[in-house]
Amino acid sequence: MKSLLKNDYGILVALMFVLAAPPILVKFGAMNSYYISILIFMALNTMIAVGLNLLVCHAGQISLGHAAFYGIGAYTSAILTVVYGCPLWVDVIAAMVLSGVIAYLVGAPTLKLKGHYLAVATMGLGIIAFIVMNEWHSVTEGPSGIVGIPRLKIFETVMRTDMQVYYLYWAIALIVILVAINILNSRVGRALRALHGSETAAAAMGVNVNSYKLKVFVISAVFAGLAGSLYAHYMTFISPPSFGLQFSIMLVLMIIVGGAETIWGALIGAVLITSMRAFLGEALGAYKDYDVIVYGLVMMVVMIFIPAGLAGGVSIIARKLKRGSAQPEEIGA
Amino acid sequence: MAFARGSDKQTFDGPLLNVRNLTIRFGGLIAVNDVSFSVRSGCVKAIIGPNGAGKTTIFNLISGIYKPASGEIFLRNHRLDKMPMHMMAELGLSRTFQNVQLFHNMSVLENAMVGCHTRTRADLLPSILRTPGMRREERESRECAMENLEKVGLAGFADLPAGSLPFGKQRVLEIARALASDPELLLLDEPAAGLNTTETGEVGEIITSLKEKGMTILLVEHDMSLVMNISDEVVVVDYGKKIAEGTPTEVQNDAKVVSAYLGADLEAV
Repeated sequence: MKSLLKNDYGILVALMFVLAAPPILVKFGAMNSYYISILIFMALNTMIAVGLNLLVCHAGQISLGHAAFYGIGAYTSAILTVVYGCPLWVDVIAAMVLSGVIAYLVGAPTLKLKGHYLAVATMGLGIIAFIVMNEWHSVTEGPSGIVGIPRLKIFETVMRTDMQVYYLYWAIALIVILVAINILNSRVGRALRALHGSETAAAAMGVNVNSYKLKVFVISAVFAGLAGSLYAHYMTFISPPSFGLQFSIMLVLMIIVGGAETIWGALIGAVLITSMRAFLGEALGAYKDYDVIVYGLVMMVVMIFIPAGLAGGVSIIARKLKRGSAQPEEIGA
Repeated sequence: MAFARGSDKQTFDGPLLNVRNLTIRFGGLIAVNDVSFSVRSGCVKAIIGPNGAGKTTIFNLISGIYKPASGEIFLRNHRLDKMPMHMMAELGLSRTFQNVQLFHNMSVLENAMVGCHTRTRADLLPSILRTPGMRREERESRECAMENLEKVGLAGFADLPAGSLPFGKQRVLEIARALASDPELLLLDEPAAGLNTTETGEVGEIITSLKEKGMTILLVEHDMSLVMNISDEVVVVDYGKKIAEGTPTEVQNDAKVVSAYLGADLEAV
């Protein structure tokens, strides 16, 4: 087991077992079924965070507008299924494709520039997308949003219960993680990390820097579009506030808190921030709007004390324990 | 074939690298002024000159970091100066950097594996699906990277983070990374800068062994004993102009070169 956990694929298998636990807990009454819906949001946020982790942590390109792709995915699915009666799953693919195409159009001119232009451009995209969702009444229904989005089906089985959605969405999230792991452990992943290390040196080694930056940006947008589409199919109702700038910042928070070193930082960050969002809302009650301060504090604490993020922090602590203890085997076992 | 480069080695018999009338200005400063030279296949050529003479600028022009204001650069019959940098690597040009530019976020082995980038083809889809072809390429890249680490004596450090190597080893790793792309022309930008005598000696041995295997090398270097030991030919630049070219012995006896280095007035010599 220990050696298995050293390998990304091993962790993925272990994660599958962990994910089987909550439904069992619910069945035996040890866990409130309300938490299943939070776990579903964790799956969605994990999909986006994994894409963002590839883009920001491994390729070094910052996006402050990924909520836009999440929203584009959600609205594409909503409009296609509700207005045009598009077959289920086809709309999911369409949502991914449209997110990818828009990312391409935004990324192609901006990724050629060095520095923080992508961050500014994506932030602009996020603001524009938010305005379009609110104002283009004839298509998006404006602030009142779109209702009556159908739940997804597998063959003839409609995903009616949260438990069914939970299994389906986490299965998809695991596939997204697997795709990301495969990308990172390949020539493409090395090229991305290389251009993060030194664009000049990467180019000198034959890496087409602009093309790879664009590719990873499109992939991250496709993941966000997928999550958006699944979100729409789960909630069956969408409206603009879910896709604003605040959610984009929240996504960045996830990958910072989780840690940049590995793809697992995205998972840890998504799980942590999603639960914080759920529980802070309850805990703060009337002072709900002050949750932003808490997020700010969390970000500061993480950046000051564990700049490698939680995933990085855990491995650093593990290493220290190993070195500091006289019987390292006992701690490990 | 994954690991072969479509090359035109047989069809071209001019010099491997041909630099013609290269000029670049930075504002009012003419950093490189009408410099021409060529590098024959299998030859080790050094560009030397006092500090600020424009050596590294010439290097950056050849490797595409700067684009010349005028002049032409040819690798065989391919014009380099109109080409994006990553295409040059495809053609067989590989370089190291004066200020070491390793990928610090990656292991020593992975750094060398990036060197294999141009020799492999697996793109996104095969990588995501881990197709048999992609996995074979990965294996070949790993082997090729290991081979090149062995050549420079870094095989034992393969799994360490590149940033954790001592500076001398980092320089050598840059050479291994450049070699992994199986270059026709290797550009070494001050390979001995910042190294102590022992390390410089090691770099010298690596260059000599590459030369014995027939590698064509163009280098910029300050360490004169290293340059004079390993080079077949030397180009001397001063104030952006070529002032001499020839064998190490010829150049050492050139009056202009002596004055450039020792600052003596030409008339007084």
